[in-house]
Amino acid sequence: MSTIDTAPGLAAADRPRRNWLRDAGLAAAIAVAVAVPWTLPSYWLSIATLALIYGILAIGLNLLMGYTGLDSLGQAAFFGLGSYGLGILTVKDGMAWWPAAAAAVALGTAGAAVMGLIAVRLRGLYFLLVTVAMGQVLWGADYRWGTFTGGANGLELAGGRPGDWFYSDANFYYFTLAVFAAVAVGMYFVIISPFGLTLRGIREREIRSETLGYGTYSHKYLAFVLAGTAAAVAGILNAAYNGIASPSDLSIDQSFTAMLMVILGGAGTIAGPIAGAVVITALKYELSTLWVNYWPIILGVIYILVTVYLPNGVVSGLGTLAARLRPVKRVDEPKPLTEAAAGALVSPSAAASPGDGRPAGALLSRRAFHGHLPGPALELAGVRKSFGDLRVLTAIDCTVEAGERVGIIGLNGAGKTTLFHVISGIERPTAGRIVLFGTDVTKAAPSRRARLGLSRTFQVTLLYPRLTVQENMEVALLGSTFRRYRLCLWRPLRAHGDVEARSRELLEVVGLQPYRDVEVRHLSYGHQRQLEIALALAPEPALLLLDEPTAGLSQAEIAEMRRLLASLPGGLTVLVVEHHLEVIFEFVERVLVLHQGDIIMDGPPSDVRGDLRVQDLYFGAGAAAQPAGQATIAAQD
Amino acid sequence: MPHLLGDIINGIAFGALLFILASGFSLALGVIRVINVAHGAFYILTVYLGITIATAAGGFLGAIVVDSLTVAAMAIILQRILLNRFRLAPLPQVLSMYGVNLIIVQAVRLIWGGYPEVMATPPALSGTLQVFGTIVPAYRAFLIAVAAALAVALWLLIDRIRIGALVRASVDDEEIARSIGINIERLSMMLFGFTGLLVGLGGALGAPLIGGYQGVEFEILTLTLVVVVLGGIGSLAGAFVGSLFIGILWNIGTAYFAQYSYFVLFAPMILVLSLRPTGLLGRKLNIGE
Repeated sequence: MSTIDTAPGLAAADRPRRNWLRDAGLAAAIAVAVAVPWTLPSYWLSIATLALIYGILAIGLNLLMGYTGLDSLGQAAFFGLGSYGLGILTVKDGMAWWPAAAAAVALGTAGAAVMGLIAVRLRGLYFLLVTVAMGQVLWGADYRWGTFTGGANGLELAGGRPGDWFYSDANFYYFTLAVFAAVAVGMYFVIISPFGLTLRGIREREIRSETLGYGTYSHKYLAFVLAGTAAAVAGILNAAYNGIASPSDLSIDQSFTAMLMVILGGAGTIAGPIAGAVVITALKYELSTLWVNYWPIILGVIYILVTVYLPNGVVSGLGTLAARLRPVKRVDEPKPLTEAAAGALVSPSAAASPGDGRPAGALLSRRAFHGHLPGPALELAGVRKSFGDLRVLTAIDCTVEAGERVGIIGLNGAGKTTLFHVISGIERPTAGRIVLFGTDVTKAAPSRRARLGLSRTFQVTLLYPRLTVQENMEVALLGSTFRRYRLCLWRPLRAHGDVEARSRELLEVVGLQPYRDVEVRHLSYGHQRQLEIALALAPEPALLLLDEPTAGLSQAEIAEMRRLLASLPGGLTVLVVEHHLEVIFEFVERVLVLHQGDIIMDGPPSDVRGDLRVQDLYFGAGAAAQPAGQATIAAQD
Repeated sequence: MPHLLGDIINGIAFGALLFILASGFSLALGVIRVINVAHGAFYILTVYLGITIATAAGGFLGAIVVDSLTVAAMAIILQRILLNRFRLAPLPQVLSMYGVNLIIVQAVRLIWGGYPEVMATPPALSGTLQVFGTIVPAYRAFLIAVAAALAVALWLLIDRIRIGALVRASVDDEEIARSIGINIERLSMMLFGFTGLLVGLGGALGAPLIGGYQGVEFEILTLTLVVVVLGGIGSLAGAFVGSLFIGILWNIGTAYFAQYSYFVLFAPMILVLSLRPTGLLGRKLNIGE
């Protein structure tokens, strides 16, 4: 028990200090923000107002770039829809300010909702290209549509502020500050909510999230729309403050400015985009008046320098610096933890759940498994898969009964992993049908298959490298058992005690609880493999696909993995691809031999072990090689 | 309807120019995965530079040569000192190239003053032709011929000799490419230089037709983006089809309802993207991408 208490102890000693620093910084920032109007000259007041407006834009974009991994160059579109919406509604339709502002925000949000439908299906380069293209076309439409939008001259708002009180720049500043604070606090809650963690999971490894049951599209879409709303809010404030909606609101320059702010400050940090907005706005208004002609060139140089020398931003840079100054804390070194690891190696279940000593299976099967579903767990009918001219799976026909444990063996390139990809939905079969627990899933997304009870591990570990061990587990839980929380935006993840408790239970089973606060990229390979299995078990699957669970493990780690496999609950259907034949023969009751995309043999381990063709495949032709092969197996046993 | 026919032929000519401009952009995107957001800046630079060269000395041909070589050289240098640092990382590529865009556009403004200018049509191409009873300016016919020749040449280069496939394969699997002795830095540099050559050519050829004016860099970038997104990301054939389609639409749009010309672009783009996110002739996406 002491092993588990130590890690929180370390964390507890560390956390209050960091919070104290952060609180002090936050209090100082608030004090400065409130004091701006009566301490600084009015020139700086306007810079501060604009910095807050751009801060709102950058905060929204940061949700996309920093937390969801979607680098959008279309934010100007929603900013512009907000500013022009306000302008057109108040000037042309004579609407009162507040309803017009609400309608303009709704317009920007609707714009994001429409563009998001298309853009969010794409990733990386394609996403960038499509967002910039859509934003640019909107800019062009505005630029040319002179009679409605004022064209190149923009649209004068005839004032544009909500009421007389707002025409004092100090008052408008406080108004902007209040809106800014509301957006910042709102975004903070989104980020620390289960939804925020879900987004970070998508950012890190979208495929993994899909196989854990997330329809990632809807999550990304919601983030896109939220960012659009923030941009529209910034847009109306900008139009109200400047008294004009101009084509520059919609231009690519605006999108790039927002992006530069996020990058300069630090994407994926809460303070980063705000700091970036303040710095860039101040620079812009200082330097562009000082050197009118050279400002664009200076800004161009800033873009290049920031990209080359500050790719992670100022705030992350300071964070790294602060971490270096702090006394070194190494979670995997303290003695009790080593004991825990050693204990886990000897007997994971005993070390991990002290007290009752339940095996992993008992704990995992505590909740309802889908194992009782009628009919076979998996049916493959004529499944083929070709990549261009290369036929990887020729015609797979196979039925796996519920509760069966099936091993799949075959040489490298036999099609084993492709078969798993096809079953789990990562690859679509070229032909054939896949039926999962009586449901045809041939065309279903990986997330749908996951919800039917399918779970899998990957041959090359597919974890969320920049999330902690506990967060990895929580992503898995929020995709399945605690699905109801995954779109929960208003309640912090840490307030959901049941998720944390379940994560602790599962991590104890695999002996990783002591490492729960370690980012997964810093975890040893053996521990990553164990976490890989734990993530696959978290959804309490009915059908588990294990892709080479012992690949790359040391002998001791293999022994531990075998114990973990042995303790899997009885009702669970398992398909396992493995090169260590002794692991397969010990664990399964049926073996499929895959060769050049075809099942060449299907039978109990004893038959397969004695089969000449299999021996031929594995140990080379002739009986002479056979004893050597068996010797290898014996040695490994 | 000779009037509409004339508009369509003019549209094809404009599409031909768009293709010359978009082909470089599309190649850079498809092969070394660079979104060249400085595309419009290259265009505006070549227009003013080309006009200066054409009037001072060298004439139209001199403008073409100087423009193409200038942008090719700039592209090679940019690839060497900037893009090479961020291979296959779209975000830093786009951000730093936008910085380059700002610098070039402002430099052009400082040097040439930023007044709207159009190159005089070269004398040899200033006549007109009769096509199906419609008068077509010879320069436009010339653009169509150049674009057609360029399309064939690129098709031969990329599809027949498979040099494009080789380059793309090298980009996809750097380690393998390195291990068989391919110098990727150099290959990417040459390729980006070549796309610069095409953009420079497009700018010189566009100078008599569109010319340079305030904001033209954004318009050219936008039209190119629409062409590439519509035709299919990284597909030259897509860029060809997209250019002609957008050229005709744009020409008719600006002729009949100038104010709404961008809506004419917007609608087909949204339609195509909702049906095929990677464009008409772009390759389909796998889940992993």
